[in-house]
Amino acid sequence: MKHTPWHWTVIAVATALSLAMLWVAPLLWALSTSLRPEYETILPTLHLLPREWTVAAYTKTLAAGNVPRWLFNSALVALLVTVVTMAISLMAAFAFSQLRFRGRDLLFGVAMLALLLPFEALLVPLFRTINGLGLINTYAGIVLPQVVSPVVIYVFRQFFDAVPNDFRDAALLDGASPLRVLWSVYLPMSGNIVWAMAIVTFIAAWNNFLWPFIIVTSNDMMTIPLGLTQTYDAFGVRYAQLMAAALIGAFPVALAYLVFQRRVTQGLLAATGLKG
Amino acid sequence: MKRKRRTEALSAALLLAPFMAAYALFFLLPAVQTLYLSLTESSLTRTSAFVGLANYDTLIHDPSFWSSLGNTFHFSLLTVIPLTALGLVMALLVDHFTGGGKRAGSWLQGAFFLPYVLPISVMTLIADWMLQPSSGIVNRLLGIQRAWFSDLDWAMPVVAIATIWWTVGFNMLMFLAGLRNIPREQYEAAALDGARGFAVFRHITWPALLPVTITALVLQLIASLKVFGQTYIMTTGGPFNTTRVTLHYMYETAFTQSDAGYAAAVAMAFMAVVVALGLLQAVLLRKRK
Amino acid sequence: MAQADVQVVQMWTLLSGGDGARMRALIDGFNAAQNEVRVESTTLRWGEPFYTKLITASVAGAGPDLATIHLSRLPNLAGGGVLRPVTAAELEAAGLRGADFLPRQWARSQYEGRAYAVPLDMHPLVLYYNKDLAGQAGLLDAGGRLKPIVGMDALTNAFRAVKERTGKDGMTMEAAQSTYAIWRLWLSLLAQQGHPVVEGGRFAYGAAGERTLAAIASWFRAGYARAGQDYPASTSQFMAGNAGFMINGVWEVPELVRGTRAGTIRFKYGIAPLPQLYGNASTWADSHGFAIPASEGRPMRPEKLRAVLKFVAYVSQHSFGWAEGGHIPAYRPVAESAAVRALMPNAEYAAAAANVVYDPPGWYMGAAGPLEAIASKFLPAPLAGQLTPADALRRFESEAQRLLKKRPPRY
Repeated sequence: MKHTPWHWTVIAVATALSLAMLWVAPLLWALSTSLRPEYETILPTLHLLPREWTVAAYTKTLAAGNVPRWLFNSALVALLVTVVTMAISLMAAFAFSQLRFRGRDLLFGVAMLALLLPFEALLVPLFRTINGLGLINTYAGIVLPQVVSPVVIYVFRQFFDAVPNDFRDAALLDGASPLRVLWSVYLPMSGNIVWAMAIVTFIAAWNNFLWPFIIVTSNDMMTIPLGLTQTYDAFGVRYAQLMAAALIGAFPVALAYLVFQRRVTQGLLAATGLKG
Repeated sequence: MKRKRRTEALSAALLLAPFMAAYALFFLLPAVQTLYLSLTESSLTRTSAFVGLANYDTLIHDPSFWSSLGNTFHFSLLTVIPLTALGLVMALLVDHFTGGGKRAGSWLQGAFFLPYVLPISVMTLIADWMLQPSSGIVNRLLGIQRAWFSDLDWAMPVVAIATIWWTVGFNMLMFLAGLRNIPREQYEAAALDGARGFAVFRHITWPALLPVTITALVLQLIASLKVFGQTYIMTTGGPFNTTRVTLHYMYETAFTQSDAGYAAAVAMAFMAVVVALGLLQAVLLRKRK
Repeated sequence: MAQADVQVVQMWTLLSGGDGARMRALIDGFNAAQNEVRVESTTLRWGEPFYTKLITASVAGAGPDLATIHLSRLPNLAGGGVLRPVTAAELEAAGLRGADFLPRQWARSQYEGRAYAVPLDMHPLVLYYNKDLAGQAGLLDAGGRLKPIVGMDALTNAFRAVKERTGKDGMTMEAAQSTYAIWRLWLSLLAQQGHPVVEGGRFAYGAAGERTLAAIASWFRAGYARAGQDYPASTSQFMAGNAGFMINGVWEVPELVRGTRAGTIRFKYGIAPLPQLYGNASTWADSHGFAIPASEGRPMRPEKLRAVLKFVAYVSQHSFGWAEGGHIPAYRPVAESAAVRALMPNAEYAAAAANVVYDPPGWYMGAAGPLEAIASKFLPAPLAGQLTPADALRRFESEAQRLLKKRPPRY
C-alpha cells in the first residue's frame, strides 16, 4: 500500500474526487434550491447558485406546516426506541452470553429468526395487535414494535462472549447479582459499543417510514419522514419550500452523524465486521 | 452448585423477559397470525371465514402477484451487484486515503456515507426535484424533458440509482471493516516479494475480503427484495404497475382493498421467497469459497 | 365564557389548493362567528392515502369527529361500517332538512335508507378554453363564446385548429400515471353512449370502451395534447396560455378568477359544459359531503354531535363562498339564490348540472376507490402510447376482476 505506482494514485484521486462530488451534489443542489425565492426554481435558465439569496423558504416551512411538531415527535420516538432497545437488548444479550440455562441456544436461535423474516410482511397482524391494545396513533404504538432488534442482541452477545470469564466469575463470587454484574462490570467495558449501537438505532428509528406510516392516523402524531410526504399538499408544488422542509428533516440526523461519525462507523463495523 | 444453576436460570429468565415479551408480542405472534390469516377471508380488522387454501389457489393464478415478484427481482438485479461493487470501490478509496496523517479518507467516508442517514422521504423529495420533467436539473443538463418516473424504460432504473446513492454507504462500511481486519504484515510480505498495485489487490486484498463480500451480497439481496418505500413514494408502482413490488402489492391488498386474508397469503409467499433465496445464496456463495 | 365549555371538533379534509383555502376561510368564519364550538381541521393527502387513513382510523376508534368525503365513496364507507348515520331528528335540531338539498345529491348521501352524509356541492367535468387561442383558430362566435361543438370529430378538429393556427397545444389534461382525469372523461363519454362502466357486477362498456379510449388517445398521439403531464404541469400549461382547451373539474375556477384579478393570467378564458360527443351530453361529476366517522367503540357524545352539525349547517348556509370555488352548492337556499345564479363564470357551465353522471354504485367504486385506483394505473398508459387501448383495458379488467367478485368488506 505504501508503494503505490503513480498512475494508480492518479486513478484513485480522480475516481475519489468524481465519486465524492457525485455523492454530495444532490444535497448541495437541494441546499442551493432552498435558498432561493420560489420563482427562481422554475426560471427557464439554469443557475447553480441562487441569484437572490433568501431564507424565506425556511421561515415559511417552519411557520406553515407541522414541521416543528413532526421534529419533536421524531426526536421523542427515536429517543424512546433507543433507550428501550438498549436496555432490553443488553439484558438479553448478557443472559445469552454469560448465564447458563437450559434451552439457551434454542432460544437464541428463535430470537435470531427475526433476522430472516421481513418485518414488512407482518404489517397486517401487527396493525391488529396494536389496534387490539388500543395503541393506534399513540407514541407507545409507534415505539413498541421497533424495540425488537435481534441485530443489536447479536452484536452485544458477540462482544460479551469476547470478554474473559474471569471478570464475571470474580464478581459473581462476591455475591453480586447478574444485573449488578452487567451494570457495573460489563457496561463500563462496553461503553463504545453501546454508544455505537445506540446511535445506529437512533438513526434507524428516526428514519423509519413504514411503521409510522401504518400506525399514525393524525397529522400531529406524524414523524418527520412521514410528515414530509404530506408537504406537497401543504405547500403545493413549491420546490424551494420542499427542499427546505427536506433539509430541516435531514438536519438533526445528519448533524448527529457528523458529530459522532467515528462512533457510528465503529458501531456499524461492529455490527457487520464481526460477522465477516 | 445445583442451587447456583437455578438462581442463574432465574436471573436469565428475568433478564430475558422484557425482550422476549416484546419479541413474542411484536414478532412471533404476528408471524403465526399471518399464517392463520392467510387461511381466512378477512378485512383489516375482522376475521370472517376459514377458507383453507383458497387464498393460495388464487395467488398461484394471480398475474398481479407474479408480476410484482418479477418487479422485485428486477429491482434486486439492478441494485445488489452495483451496490456491492460500488461499496467495495468506495471502501478501497477511503482506505487508500486514510492513515499516514491523511485526513482525506475521513472526508471521503463522510461524503459517501452521509446519504445513508437521510430519512427516505428526504431522499425521495430530492430525487423527485432533480428528476422533475420540466425544471429538474438532470433534464436541464441533458437538454431533454423526460418524465423519468413514468417512463417505461427508466422508472425502475431511476429508483435503483436513487437507492444506490442512498444506501451504498452501509456496504462501504462493511468493506472498510474487512479491509481494517487484514493484517499489515501480509501487505509488507507481499511488498517484499515485489507485488505491486493490482497484484496486491488480487492476491491479498480480494481473498481476504471474500467473506465480507459474501455477507454483503446476502444482506443486500435480502434488503433489496424487501424494497417498498422507494417505489411507493417515487413511482407509486407505475407506469401501470411495472414498478409495483411485492410488498407494495401486499400493502394495497391489505390496506386499500381491505383484503387482509389474501394479503397475508401474499406475505407468506413473499417470506418463503426471501428466506429461500437468502439461504440459497448463502449456501452457494459459501460453497464457492 | 369558560374555556371548558368550548366543544372542539376535529375535522379531516382532503381538500387542497383552492378548495383547501376556501374551506379554511369557512372554518375561520365559523370559529369567529360564535364561541361555543371550535373546528380544528387537518388536511391529509388527497385520494387513496386519505381514505385509507380515514378507514383505519375509524375502525381503530381513532377517527376525527368530522370528515369531508366524496359522495361517490358512500357505498364503500357506509357499507363498510366506517361512517355513523345521521337521523332526520339530529339534522332537524341543527336546522337542516333533507329537502333543503338538491335531490340528486341528497339521494347520493343515503345508504340503505339512512343518511350518512350531508352534501356540500357537486363538481362536474367541464371544458375550459382560452379565448385568445380559440379566437385565432376561428372557434368563437361573434359574442366571443365557444361555437357549439357536437361530435367527437368536431372536438378533435377544434384541437387541431388551435394547434395548426397558433402553434400552441390544442388541449391539456392531466395524463401522467396514477391520474384520474382520464377515468372521468372516459366514464363521461361512455355514459354519452349509454354504457355504464360496471353494471350488475360486470364490466358493461363492451367495444365502446376501447373505441372511446382510442379516440381520446388519438389527441395525444396526433400531438394536439402533451402526454404524461401531471396535474400541476397540465394546469400551469393552460394558465400560462399555452393550450387552447383544458378538460378538468370545475375546481380550477378560483385559480382562474384569482389569476385574472392578479394579472398573472393574460388571456380571456371561457368555460363550457363538456360537449356532447356521442348520443347525449352526460358529464362525470362527484360531490363533496360531510360525514361522521363511526369510530368503533367510541360513540359520539350528543353535545359533540350538536357541535359538529352546527358547523355543517353553518357551511351549508354560507356555501356561497364554496360556489366561488367553482362548485355547484348542494344547499338549495344558496344554490337557487339569485346571487349564485348570477355568479360568473359559474353561470357559463351551470347547464352541465342537468347531465351529470356519478360513478356507478358498488363498494369498490368512487373517488380514488379500489377500482378507480386500478383504472388510474392503466388508463393513462394509452395516452402516452405505452399500451394499446385494448391492452390497457385487458390489464385493467384482469386486475379489477377480483374486486368485482369479492363480497363487500366490513372494515
